[in-house]
Amino acid sequence: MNISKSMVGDIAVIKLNGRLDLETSKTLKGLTKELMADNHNKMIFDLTDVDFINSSGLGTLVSILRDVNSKKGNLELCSLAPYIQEIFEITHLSSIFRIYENEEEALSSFAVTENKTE
Amino acid sequence: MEKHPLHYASLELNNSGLCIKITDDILKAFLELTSLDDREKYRLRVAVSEIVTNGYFHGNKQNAQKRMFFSCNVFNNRIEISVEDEGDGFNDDEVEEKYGAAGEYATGGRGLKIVEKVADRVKCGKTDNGRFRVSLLKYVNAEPVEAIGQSIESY
Ligand SMILES: Nc1ncnc2c1ncn2[C@@H]1O[C@H](COP(=O)(O)OP(=O)(O)OP(=O)(O)O)[C@@H](O)[C@H]1O
Ligand SMILES: [Mg+2]
Repeated sequence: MNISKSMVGDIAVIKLNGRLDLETSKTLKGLTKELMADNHNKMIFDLTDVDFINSSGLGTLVSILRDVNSKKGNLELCSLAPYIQEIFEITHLSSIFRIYENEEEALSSFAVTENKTE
Repeated sequence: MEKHPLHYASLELNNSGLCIKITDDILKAFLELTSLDDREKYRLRVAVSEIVTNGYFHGNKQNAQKRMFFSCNVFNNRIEISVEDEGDGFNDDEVEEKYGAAGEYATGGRGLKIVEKVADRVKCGKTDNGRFRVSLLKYVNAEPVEAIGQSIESY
């Protein structure tokens, strides 16, 4: 799994590439721990190039979501291939994650939340 | 049901995280020989990865001294996959106790649910030589290798 990170304002946009399984999930969890240690609690995971995910990857995403929620941050997911999205549906996870069509939509969700709190 | 598979692989692996990728690559190649559509192929790959991951993690407890046994048999109407680990196995009560009350924010307990959803039949139990085996059956239409010589060459 390759992971690349860029910052858009205070939002970390993390592009994942490859397989998200037991082995590769640890890298992702490590990265988000570092981000949160630096007080970056707003994240977008772009899954465009994720070609395989199983319950280990899903469990890691849930664990990161829990961490982020506990810091009153946000984790948004975007650009899931239909067959990846289906695994979220089979496991009823589409109800706890906000999943966007693309990165722009995910980014604009932050603008909306921020406007609301103003 | 006929006894001899059209295609098969049987593999002994040392217990490591790499088992998940290796077995998936083999399965992926075999699935090209079946009539399953891309969506079904993917779901089956995920289900099998769950069984292998469980064998590596829960069964063999990530112990590098242990072994994993993987086999894949493709018949003309079905595919049968079995994964054996050198652990003690589990029963439904244990799983219920662990995850029965777990909500949607649980960080585990999804693997076997995916397996049940995708497979046409799943069997678990101890083998005669003391391993724990999980086997999965999925009905598919597969072709003998002669008919797909073309695609084998380009693979
Ligand atoms: N091969 C095995 N050997 C021993 N115990 C197993 C095995 N497979 C499954 N189990 C038991 O069944 C439980 C449920 O498995 P399941 O795959 O559904 O969830 P998990 O592995 O705990 O989490 P997840 O798969 O969501 O990452 C496991 O936690 C484990 O206790
Ligand atoms: Mg599991």
